[in-house]
Amino acid sequence: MNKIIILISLVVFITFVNGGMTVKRQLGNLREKSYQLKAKNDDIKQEIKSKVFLDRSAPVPLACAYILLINQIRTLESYSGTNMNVQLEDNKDTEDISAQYVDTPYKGVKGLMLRMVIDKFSKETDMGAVLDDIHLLEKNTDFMATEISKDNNNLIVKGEVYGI
Amino acid sequence: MNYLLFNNEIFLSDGINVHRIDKNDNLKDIVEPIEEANICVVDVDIIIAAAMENPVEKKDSLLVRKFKELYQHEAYIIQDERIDDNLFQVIGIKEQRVREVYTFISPEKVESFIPYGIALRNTLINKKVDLNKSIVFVDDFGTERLVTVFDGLKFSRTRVITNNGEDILPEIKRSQIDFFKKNEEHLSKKNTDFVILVNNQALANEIAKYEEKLSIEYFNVPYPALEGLKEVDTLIKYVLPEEILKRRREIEIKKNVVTAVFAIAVTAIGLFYFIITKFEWEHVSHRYDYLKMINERLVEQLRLIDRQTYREDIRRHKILNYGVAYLSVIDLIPPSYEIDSFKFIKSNHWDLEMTLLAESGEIFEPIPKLRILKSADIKDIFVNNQQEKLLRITL
Repeated sequence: MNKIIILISLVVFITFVNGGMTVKRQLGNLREKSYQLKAKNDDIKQEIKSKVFLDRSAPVPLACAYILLINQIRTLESYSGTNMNVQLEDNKDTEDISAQYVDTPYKGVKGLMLRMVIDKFSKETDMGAVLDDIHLLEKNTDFMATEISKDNNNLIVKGEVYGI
Repeated sequence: MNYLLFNNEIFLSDGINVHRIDKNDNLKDIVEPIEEANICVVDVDIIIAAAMENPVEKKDSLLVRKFKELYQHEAYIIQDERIDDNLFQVIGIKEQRVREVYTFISPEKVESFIPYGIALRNTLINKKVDLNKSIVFVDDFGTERLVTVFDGLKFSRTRVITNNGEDILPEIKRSQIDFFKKNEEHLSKKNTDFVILVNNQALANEIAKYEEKLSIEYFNVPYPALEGLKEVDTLIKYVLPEEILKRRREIEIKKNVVTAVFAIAVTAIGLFYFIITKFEWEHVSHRYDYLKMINERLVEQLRLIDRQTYREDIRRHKILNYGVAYLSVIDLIPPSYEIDSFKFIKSNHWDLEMTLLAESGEIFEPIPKLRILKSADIKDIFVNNQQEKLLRITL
C-alpha cells in the first residue's frame, strides 16, 4: 500500500514537474513575445509622436487618387505633347485594380504600384522639362516616384499612388 | 541499570550488590523504582534445529514448527540464535512465564530479556573459558543448584536441583548424557569428555572426592548469570505478543506517517513548482495581454493619424524636382559628353546615376567637381567594349 502511495506520489510529482516545465517553456516564448511587443509599442509611440505635428487632411479613396493621377497625366500630355503610357506594375491590363492594392507603411492606407513609360524621344526633347512634369505630377497628386530611369529611348517612372 | 534473574526465587543486582527476593515479598514495590533492567529467566526449553537461513520468514516458520512438535501443549514465546551455518538454537519461554515477569516490571523498562543459559554463556566467554570443550556448569544458589551443559554456543535446558545434601554428581552426569543424546546429530564432539565448572569451592571439592578422574574446576563468580547480564550482546529479547503487536502497529504507523509525509512532500514540491511556474506565467500573460491591448490602441491611433497625415507626409517626401536636379548636373558636364542613360533611385534619399559617352572622336574631358557634383563619385567603366563615365550623385 505504502509502495503504491509512493509510486502515485512520484507519478503526480513527475506530472506536476512536467506540466511546470511545459509552462516554463511557454513562459519563455511569452516573455520573448512581450519584449518584442513592448519594443513595437515604443516604435509606434515614437511614430505617432513624429506624426502628430503633420498637417491633417481628409484621406482620398485610392480609386479616386488613381483617377486623379490619370487625369493629371492626360492634362500634362495635352500640354507637352508627350505620350505617357501608364501600366500597373507587372500587369498591363487588369479588370479589378483593387486586387493590386498593396499595404503601405501608413496604417489603413493602401498603395498601387505603377509604371509609366514615356518613349519616342528625340535628341531635341527637353529631358529637364519632362522630369519637371513628373515632379509636377507628384505635386498635384498622391503619386510618389520611387525610381526614374532612362535607357535607350525609354523613360520609365516607377512609383506608387496612395489612398484609402 | 539493574539485573534480574528469575527462577523459583528472584535475584536482583544493582551491579555491585545482589539481593535475594522471595516471591512472597512484595516484588512489585521492590522493582518499581528500577528504571532500566536486564533480565534472564532460568525456565526455558531449547531445541537445536537445522533450517535454511533465507528467506527469514520461511526459516522462522520452520523453526517454530519444529519447536511446537516437541512443546505443543503450552503457549511459548520463541526466539532463535544462529549457532552455525543453517543451524539454530531455538529457545522458548512459556508465555505465562514471560507475562508473569512483565507483571513485575513494565516492558518499557526492560532493556534485554534473555535465557539464563545465554547470560551464563556470556560470563564464560568473558572469563575466557574454553567452550570448545563440553562444560557442565553447576551454579550454586545454596538452596538450589542449577546445572547447565554447554557445547560451543549450544547449551542445555537448565536443570534446577534442590540442595537436599545428596550427591549431585549423578545429576551432573545425567544432564550431560541427556544433552548429548538429545543433540547427538548436531554436536561436533563424539566423545563424552567434559569439564565440570562449579562456582562453589566446597562443592567442587566434594564432587572431586566422588570421582577423581573427572575434570572439575572452581569458577570464582558467585552469580555468573547476573554478571553475564551486564554486557548483553544478543538480539534476543522476549516480548509479549501484544507488545509485539503494539510495536508492529507503532512501526506500521511510523512507516505510514513517513510514507504520507514523503508522498505529501513530493507532491507538494511538484505542485509548488507547477504553481510557481503557472503563477509566473499568469503574471507574464497578463502583462502580455496588457501590452497587446496597448498595441491595439496604439495601432488604431496610428491608423487614424496615418489616414489624416499620409498625404502631408508623402508631400514632404516629394521635395526633389528631378528636372532641376538633372539640369544642374547637365550644366556642369562638358559639352563633349553625351548622356547615355540615367537613373534616379530612391532609398532614404535620392541618388542619381548617370552614364556618359564621349562624342565620337573626342577625348574624355575632366568633369569639374563643383556644386552638385562636389561629392559625386566619378568612375571610368566599360560597357559593350566602350569606355564610359559613371557618375553617382547623392541628391
